[in-house]
Order: sequence, then structure tokens, then C-alpha cells
Amino acid sequence: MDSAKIETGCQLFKRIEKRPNLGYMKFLGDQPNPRDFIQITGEAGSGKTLLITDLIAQCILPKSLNYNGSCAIFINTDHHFSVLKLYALMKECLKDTDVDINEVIEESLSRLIIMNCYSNEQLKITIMNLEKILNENVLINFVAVDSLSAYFWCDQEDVKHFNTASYYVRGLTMSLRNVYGNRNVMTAFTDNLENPLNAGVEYTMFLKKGDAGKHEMTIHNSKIGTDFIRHYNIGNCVEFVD
Amino acid sequence: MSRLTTKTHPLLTKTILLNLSHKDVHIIHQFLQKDSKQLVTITKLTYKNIITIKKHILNKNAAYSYNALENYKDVLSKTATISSGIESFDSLLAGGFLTGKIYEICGAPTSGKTKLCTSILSNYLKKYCSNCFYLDTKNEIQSHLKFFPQRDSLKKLLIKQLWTIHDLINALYEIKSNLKQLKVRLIVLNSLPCLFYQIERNRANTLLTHAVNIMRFISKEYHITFIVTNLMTTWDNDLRLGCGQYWKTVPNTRINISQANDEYSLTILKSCDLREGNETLIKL
Repeated sequence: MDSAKIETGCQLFKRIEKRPNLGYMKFLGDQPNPRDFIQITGEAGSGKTLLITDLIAQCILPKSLNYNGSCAIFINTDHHFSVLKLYALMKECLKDTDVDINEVIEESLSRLIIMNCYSNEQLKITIMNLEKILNENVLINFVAVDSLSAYFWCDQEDVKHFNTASYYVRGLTMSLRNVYGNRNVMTAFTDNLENPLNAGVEYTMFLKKGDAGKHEMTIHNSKIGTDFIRHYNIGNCVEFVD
Repeated sequence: MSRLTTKTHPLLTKTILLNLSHKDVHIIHQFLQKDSKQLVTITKLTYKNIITIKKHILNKNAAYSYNALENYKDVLSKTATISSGIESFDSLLAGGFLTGKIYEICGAPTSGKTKLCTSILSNYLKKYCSNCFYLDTKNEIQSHLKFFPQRDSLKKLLIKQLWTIHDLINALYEIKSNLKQLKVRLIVLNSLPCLFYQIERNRANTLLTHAVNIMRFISKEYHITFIVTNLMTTWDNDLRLGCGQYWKTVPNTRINISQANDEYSLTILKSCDLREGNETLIKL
């Protein structure tokens, strides 16, 4: 892309600082760095879409209620995400507060941009177009994609040699990094890969369906090389049971 | 894949397109990825013009950005629930089939998938004034038509017979381009495996992805419900779903049907909105 422009160190610092950092994320048990990538992977029905919906809620709910109050972009390729579900999930998060729930949720929803993609080409062009949207809104610091592997089989038609799904997903994460440049934007994406990506992501959340609705989440932090396991239920939101 | 044509942008003349083609730039994505300075050399256009063309292509082809609040209000006002006509099934679905979603009914051979679809269609025709589409890959709808109680309502049932996965893609494109005239709220595809297992697996997955992309577009943008039937087979006492790994992730809700004496058991196997494992018994 042709975004290279000359700016002074002060200008660069000012531009980067404008985009607020995301705070503590309960699912990671950690405060991610501004440009980290979170991969959410696991079998069908393990709760990937619900988890990414929950991450979006944590991001857009207001700062005054100990959330992030940021702006976010959601790229919808699998079309399992439902804005009605997001509304219900935020309602669940706010049930113990004494605020006007509908007003807070509507205000939070206005900070989210949804983009529906219907083809591999449209997804790739949408990723390229993110640069323009990020420049227009300096408060966007979170991009969520559900899922990055949705058009893998379409891509096989366009390439000369058969690639693996991991290779395809890694290519898209690299395109996202190129588009962000120096901007403080964190990314969470889901995929349907059988094995988690070994490189290019800072956190991997591997979801595994368990018996009697008790599922297992392995969170791998590749920066320090640690794994920790948590168990969860799928209800109106992702509820940890340990 | 959209090819670069003279319609892409007025500045792209036939000569320029030929020069681009010689340098292996045929589609819009390749044009966007190519370095602008190299494009200046190839096309002999100015740098400013190249940037203008790129911006134009990006604006025209990138996904439309919705504000989530507007999207929420839009979804709330346009989403409808389609009753299956069977009370306990509607309770299992928390009211009925939601528009904008893809439902899968899966089960072993002769478990009652077609019978359930026919029942849903028959009840739909009785209750709703909009049309419904039946995509028939088994060529057996004729034998079920006699069970439809109201012959007049059959004019609301649009039927297309499909023989290959290419027919499915063509039919979906046809439906997509005529949706306003068709006034359809429900599309039933019975059954998908007949088309999927005709061709080599990788090619079938690619074609299925194309079909699913159009199905998602139709269901999401026009608030239409899709019901697709799929086969479940037993391998070494292990139940396996038909149509490969890719299809596993496609439906919003997967419902398993099995026959027990004169009743049918329906179980939610996968759903973003409903609790998995919930089940009910119905009579057809």
C-alpha cells in the first residue's frame, strides 16, 4: 500500500499515543501489548464465536464500568456472529450495575463497526481498506475477525500450488500487520485450523469441547512460552468454572 | 475474482489493460497489491492517477461498514421467526427458524429428513403468504406433493431440480438476482451430499465454499432462512457428518433427526443461539 509519508519523531509519537491501549483481558489473565494478535481456535461448537463476541463486549463497554470504552472493528466472514447475541451478552455483563443498561449498550454499540464479507477477494480488499478506516478514527484499537480461514478453499482456486490452511491464515495475519504499521491495534481472530499457528501470534486460545458442557481452554502465551488451562461453560457468555 | 476491465475505472483503457496483462496483472486484487511506482511504468499513467484508481477500487469492493447500533436496529426490525408448524419443534428452536440463518437437518438414511422438510414446507404454505423455494437434488418432491393439503397454496412453492453442484451455484445466483420478484422467505435444499460426493474432494470444497458464500449473502442481506439437509453415517460405531470438514462449520444451527418407533427425536448438535444437547420428540 502507498501510505508512506514523512513525519517527525514527535508527530509519530503523538499519532501512536492517540490510540489508547487495551487494559486487562480476563480471558488471557494478562494485559496484552497494543499490537498483539490473539488466535482463537478449536472444533465446531466449542464457543469460538461466543468468545470473540465476549472480547468485543469487553472492548467497547465503557471505561467508567471498568471495561475499555474503545472503538472496534468486527469483520464477519463466517456469519455466526449475531449483534442480538452481543446485545444480550452486554446485558449479562451489566446486570449487577445500577446504570441505564439500554443506554449504556446503545452507546457502546455505536463504537463498533461491522463489516460483512462474502468472498475471499472481498476479505482481502477489506483488510487493505482498514488503513483508511483506522486513519479516520484514531480511537479504534481492536480488530476482530470471525473467521480468518472461512475462504481458504476459495483461495486454492487462485493459487498455483496447493497451500495449507495454516499458510493461508498466516498470510492474512501478515497482511493485517502490514496494514496496521505502527498503529496500536490489537487483533483477535478465530479459525478452524486443526493445529494452532506456531508463529505470528502472541496468544493462542485453544478450545476443546468437553463432557456435560464443561469445556477446556488452553491459553498459550508465546511471548513467555507458558500454557495455562481453564474450564468454561457456554451460556449467555463464556463462564469460567474454575 | 474480479477481472480488471474498462468498467473498473474510466482511466483504464484497453491498451493499458493489455500492458497490465503482459505483466501478469489481471484481477483487481493483483492491481491493488502491485507497487504504485511499477504501475506508473507499466500503464504510463501519473502516480496521482494510480492512487485515484486504487482508492476507487478499494471503496467499491471492500465490505460496507455498518455502525453496530444501526445494524442492531436494522436486524431487530427485519428479522422474523418462521414457525415450523410443530409446536415442540418451535419450542426447541426458541420460537422457530430465524431469518438470516442457515439451519442444517442431519440424520442417518431414512431417518425422516425429507419428511420433516416436507412437513415444514406444507405448514409454511398454509401459514405464510410469501413464497418458498425448494431446491431438490433427489428428484423426489413430486411424490410428496400429494400430501400437501391445500392445492391452491402450491403456487407459492417454487421448485428447482439440481443435478450437480454447478447447478446449485447457478440456481443460487438466479435466486439472488430475482429476489425482489420471487418474494421468498424460506429456501430448502434437500439434500446436499448428493451434489458434494460427485466430484473430487478438494474441488468439491472449493465449489461448496462458493455456494455457501452466496447462501450467506442471500440469507444475511435479504433476511431469508435456509434449511439444508445432510447425511450422517456410522463408521466404526462413530457418527460422521457428510460433506467434509469445511461444511461442519457452515450452519448456524445443526439439528439431528432420528426415528424412534412412530416418533422422531430432534436434538440440537451445534448452535450459536440455542443450548446444545436440547432435544424434543415430534410426530410427523
